[in-house]
Amino acid sequence: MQTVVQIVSSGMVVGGIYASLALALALVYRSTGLINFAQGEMALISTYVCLALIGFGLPYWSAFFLTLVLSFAFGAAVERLLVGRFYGRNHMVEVIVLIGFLTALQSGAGAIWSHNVRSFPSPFGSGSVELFGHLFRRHDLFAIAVTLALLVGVLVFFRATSLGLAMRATADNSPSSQLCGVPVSRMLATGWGLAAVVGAVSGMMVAPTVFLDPTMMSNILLYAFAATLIGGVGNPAGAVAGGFILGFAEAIFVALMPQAGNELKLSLVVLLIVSMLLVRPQGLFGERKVNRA
Amino acid sequence: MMSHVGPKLRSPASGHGQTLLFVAAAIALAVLPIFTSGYQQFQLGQFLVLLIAVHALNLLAGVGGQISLGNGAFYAVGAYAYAIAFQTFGIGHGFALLIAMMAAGLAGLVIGTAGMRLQGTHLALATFAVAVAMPQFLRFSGMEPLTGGPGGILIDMPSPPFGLEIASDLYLFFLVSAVALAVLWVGENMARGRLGRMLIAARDNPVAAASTGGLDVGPLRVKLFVVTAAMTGIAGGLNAMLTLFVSPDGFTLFLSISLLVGIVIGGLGSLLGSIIGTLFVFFVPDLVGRVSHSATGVMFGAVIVACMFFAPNGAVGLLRAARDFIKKNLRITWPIRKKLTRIHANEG
Repeated sequence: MQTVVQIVSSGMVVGGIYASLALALALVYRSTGLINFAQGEMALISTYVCLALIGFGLPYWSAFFLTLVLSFAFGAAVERLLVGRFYGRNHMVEVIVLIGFLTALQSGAGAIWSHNVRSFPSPFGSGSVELFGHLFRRHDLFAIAVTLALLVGVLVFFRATSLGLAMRATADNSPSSQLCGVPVSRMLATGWGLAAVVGAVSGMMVAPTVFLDPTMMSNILLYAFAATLIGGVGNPAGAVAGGFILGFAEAIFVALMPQAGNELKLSLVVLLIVSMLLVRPQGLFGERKVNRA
Repeated sequence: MMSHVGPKLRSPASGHGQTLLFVAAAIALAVLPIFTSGYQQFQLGQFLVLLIAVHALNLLAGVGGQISLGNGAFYAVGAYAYAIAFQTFGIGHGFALLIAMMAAGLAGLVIGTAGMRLQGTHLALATFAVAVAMPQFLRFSGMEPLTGGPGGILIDMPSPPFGLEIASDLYLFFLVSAVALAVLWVGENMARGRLGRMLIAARDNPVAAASTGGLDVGPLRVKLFVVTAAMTGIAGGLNAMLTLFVSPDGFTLFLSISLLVGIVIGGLGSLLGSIIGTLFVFFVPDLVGRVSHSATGVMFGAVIVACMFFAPNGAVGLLRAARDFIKKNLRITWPIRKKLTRIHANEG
C-alpha cells in the first residue's frame, strides 16, 4: 500500500510537470506545425524573469501573473520576428533556427543569471500534508492542481470562445479561415504566446522542486517530447494524458528497479520516443494518417 | 516545392582538381612538422579530427537532406569504442580505430534504419533525444567496468608500429593526418560519385527518384547515415587517441550543436564549407571564451540564426555570391574589353 501511494504521488507530481510542458509543445505544433525545440528554454527564461521580478520586491502572485503577460508577449514576438520568417522553407531550416535559439537562450540565461543553482520560492508554503498515510509536500499538491486547472482552461478556451474557434480553424485549414476573415498570422502568434504562457507556468511550478539553473528544462523537454508523442503530436488533451502516463510509468519503473531506473531514465525516454515515432507516430489516441506523397 | 539547400548535381569529372588538392594537402601536412611546435601539431590534429566530424554531418545534411542533431553521440561511440578496445582489451591502435569506425557505423545503422521512416523534423527529434541522453547513458553504473562510469577512461599513448624510430607525438600527428585525408577523400568521392548523385536526386524529389528514377530511397538514406556515422566514429576514435582521455562530459548536446554550427557557417554540401565552418568552431570559441564561458553558446546560437536569415548557404554561399557579383559588375573593361568584343563579333 505504501509503495502504491508512493508511486501514485510521485507519478502525479512529475507527470504534471511533463504534462504542462507537453501541452505547450502541442499548442505550438497545432498552430504552426512545428516541434519547438526551444520551448523548454523559453520556459526557463520566463522562470528567471519571475525570480527577477520577485527580487525587485513584487509579491509572488503579482510576479507570477506579470510573468505570464511577459511570456505571452515573448512567445508571440518569437513567432512574429523569428520563426514566422521561415515558414514554407525546408524543415531543416526551421529545426536549425530553433536549435540555434535554444542554444542562445540557455547560454544567455547562464550569462545573465550565472550557472549557479538557485532556489525558487513556492507560493504554497513548504509544509506537508498527510493523505492516505503518506506525506505530500504542499507545493506538489498545488502544482498538480495548477496544471490541471491550466489544462481545463486551455480546453475551455479552445471549445468555448470565439478566439479559440478562430485558432482551431487556422490550425485546421488556414487558407479557408483566411478567406473567412480570420486574421491567420495573428492567430499563429497567439498560439505561440499561449504556449509560452503554459510553458512559463510549468517552469515556475517545477523550479521549487528541482531548483533553478540554466539546464533545468533540458531533460524535462525530452520527457515532454515523449509525452506529446504518446498523446499524439498536436493534440493538447493527449499531450497532458501522455505526460501523466509517462510520469506514472517512470514512477513504476523506479520502484521496480531503483538503480537502473534512476540512472537510465533518459535512455529509456529516448527508446520510448524512437519507438513511438516508428510504431505509432499518431500517438496512442490518434488516428493513422495515410501519407500519399 | 520545397527549396533545398546544398549542392546541385555536379559532374563527377571535376575529380582531377580534387586529386591535386588532396596531394597538395598531403605534402603540406608531411613537411609541416619541420616548421611547427609539438603543441601546434597537436592542435592541427584536433582540427583535422573536428573537420572529419563536421564534414560527415555536412554530407548527411547537404547531400542527403537529412538533419541529425545526434552526431555527437556517434562521436562518443567511436571514442569509447577506441578507448575500450585499445585500453581495456589491449588491441593495437590501428585495429581499435577500425573497431571505433564499425561501432559507430553499427549505431548509425540502428538509428538510420529507424530514421528511414522518419522525415525531417521527426528525425531531428529522435537524434536530438539521443544526443541529450548520451552523457547519462555513459555514466550508467551498470556498465562501469567497461566505460569507467562518470570518471571515464584514461588512455595510453599508442607507440609507432614496426619499430619505427620516431617520436610518439610526431607519429600520432602523421597518423591523424593520413586518416583524416583518407576519410575526407572517401567522403568526397562518395558525394561526387554514383551514390551521391542518387542521394541528391532522392533529396530533391523523393517521389520522382523512386518512381521514374527507380531508386530505393529508404535504403539509400540508411546507407548515407551509416557511412557518415562511421566517419564521425573515426573522428571520435582519433580524438580519444589524441587527447588520451574519454569521459561522459565530453559528449554533451553541445558537441552535436557545435557540429551543426560548423555546417551552417560554412555552407552545406562542400568540403570548402566544412573547412571554413570547422575553422570557426575551432578558433572562435577560444577567443570569445576569454570574455565568459556562456558567451560561446550565445554566439553559436546567434550566429546560426543570423546565418539562416542572411546567408542560408553559409560562407560558401556568400563567396559564390561575391564571385558572381564580381563577374557581373566588375569585369575589367580596359584595354582587354576592345579585343574581346572584336573576337565576339568575329565569332558571331
